[in-house]
Amino acid sequence: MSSNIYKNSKDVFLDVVNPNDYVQLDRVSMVYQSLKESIKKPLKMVLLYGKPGTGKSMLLSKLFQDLSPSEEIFLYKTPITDENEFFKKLAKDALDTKYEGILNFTQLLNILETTNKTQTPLIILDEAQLYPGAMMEKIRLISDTRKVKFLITLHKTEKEDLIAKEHFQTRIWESIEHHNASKQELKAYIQKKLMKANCFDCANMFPTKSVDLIHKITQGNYRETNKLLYTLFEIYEWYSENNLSKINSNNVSHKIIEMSAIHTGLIDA
Amino acid sequence: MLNIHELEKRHFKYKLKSYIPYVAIFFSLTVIIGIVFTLINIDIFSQNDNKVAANSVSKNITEIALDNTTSTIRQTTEAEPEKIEQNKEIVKQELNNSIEKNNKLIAANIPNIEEDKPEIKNEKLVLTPSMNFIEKINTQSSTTSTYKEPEKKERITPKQQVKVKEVPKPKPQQSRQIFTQDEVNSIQIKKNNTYDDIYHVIKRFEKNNNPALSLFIAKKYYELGEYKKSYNYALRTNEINNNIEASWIIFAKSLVKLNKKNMAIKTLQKYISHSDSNKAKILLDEISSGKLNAD
Repeated sequence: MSSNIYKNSKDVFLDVVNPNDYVQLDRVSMVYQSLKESIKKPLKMVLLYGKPGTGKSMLLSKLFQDLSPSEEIFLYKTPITDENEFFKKLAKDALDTKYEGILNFTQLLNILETTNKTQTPLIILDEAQLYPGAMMEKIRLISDTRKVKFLITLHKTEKEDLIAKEHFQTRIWESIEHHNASKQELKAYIQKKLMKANCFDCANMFPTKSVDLIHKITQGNYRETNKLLYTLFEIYEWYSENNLSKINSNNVSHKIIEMSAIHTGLIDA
Repeated sequence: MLNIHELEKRHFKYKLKSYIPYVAIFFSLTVIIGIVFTLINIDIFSQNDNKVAANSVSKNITEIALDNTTSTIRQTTEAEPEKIEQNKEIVKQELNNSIEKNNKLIAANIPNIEEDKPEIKNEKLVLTPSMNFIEKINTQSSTTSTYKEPEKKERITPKQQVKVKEVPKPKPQQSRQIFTQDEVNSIQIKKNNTYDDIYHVIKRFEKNNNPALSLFIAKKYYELGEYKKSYNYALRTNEINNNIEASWIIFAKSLVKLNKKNMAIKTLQKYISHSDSNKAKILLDEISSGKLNAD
């Protein structure tokens, strides 16, 4: 097996949010469908939350890609923490109003009241946990006008109860949690991702035991898995170029999986 | 760029670290198992030692007196170690209790003695005649007229006597047993007395060679069925004095009993020719006719 194959396989697991790399998995599909249904409902706010690296951003990208041709939908991948900039962008996207000067919250609300759009625009806010609390309160008040609705995505930490937060307590009518992958899902994710990139030989290198080890290391986290497999194929690439006798192209080596985990910091050695 | 060699070294260290818990568990398990086995062995040995000690103790200790009034504790040789230890503790406790009791009694008596001593020293002994006997005489004279208990006693005693008479009725089987035992005892007593007598007579005969004594010995042995001894002593009697009729008759009878009938007949014939004894003739007739035979 040439080093190019390993290189191609390595590139598959680059940590880039590309809706074209979206892998159709059962549970992810269920979340995707429930999100689509929630958006169609006359809701003010929809909350998608989950641990970091569970694929929320990828899901939002896929949703935006799929719905943007037919729906008035806007994706804010990076948070706009400045209020004026946020209001100006919101007025431009949702209300088709371009402001050169300063646009404050009162002015924005006035504009929203005068707007008569048949279709309510959807603003998707990724990484919403980075918005300040006052800003989130203003977003809540904007959603109360029912001229704009929001799909908010944020991280869920172990200590944090997001639903208990004041600005989400009454407004959010739909909340969807995105989980890490199970062992079977992880195996399907790896193989489908490799096969999508035509890396069939590498896709067959992952037996159940190897996937179990990867799942044990990454806890089924997609981002961690991507990191691990990227390093794994990088090591394979090095061995194929420098010491080919040390690698077996039929099955992925547990030693190299562990070496990858050590390099990425998933294993403390 | 990856530094694979360093990564391999880190992986080697990681693998070594990952084996540490298993190695630690293995060693701890072996240590625990070893400790358990040694403890079990120690228990077994200690139990054996206790058994041996308990056996030796149980063999040595038979009865331990606890107190003058308390009963004695007897320990059997097959007693269990726990029981022995319990008994030991009980014995110790009771000994301690008895010692404490004695100490208390002693402590209680000591002050009385000390208190009494000065009184004894101070008081002068004055001998006075006791007049109690006069009071006794008066009380007896006053009570004899009304006291009826002796009459009751007289009424009771015959019943008791009747009961005593009824009780010792022996059963027939018991009487037989008792009779046979008495008989055996009486024979044994006689036999013992005869042998004692013969023993004493033999001693006397050895001293003075009196033919009357040897004849007595021969007769007694003949009566006891010891015909060889009776023959010998009759022969010795005849050697001392060959004119004793009774000695020749015992001699001849002993020969017959010793299956020497012909010799007995010849001896009697010679004796009859010499002395013309009627008793010897009668005995000769009895022997020759077969009335007297060997047993």
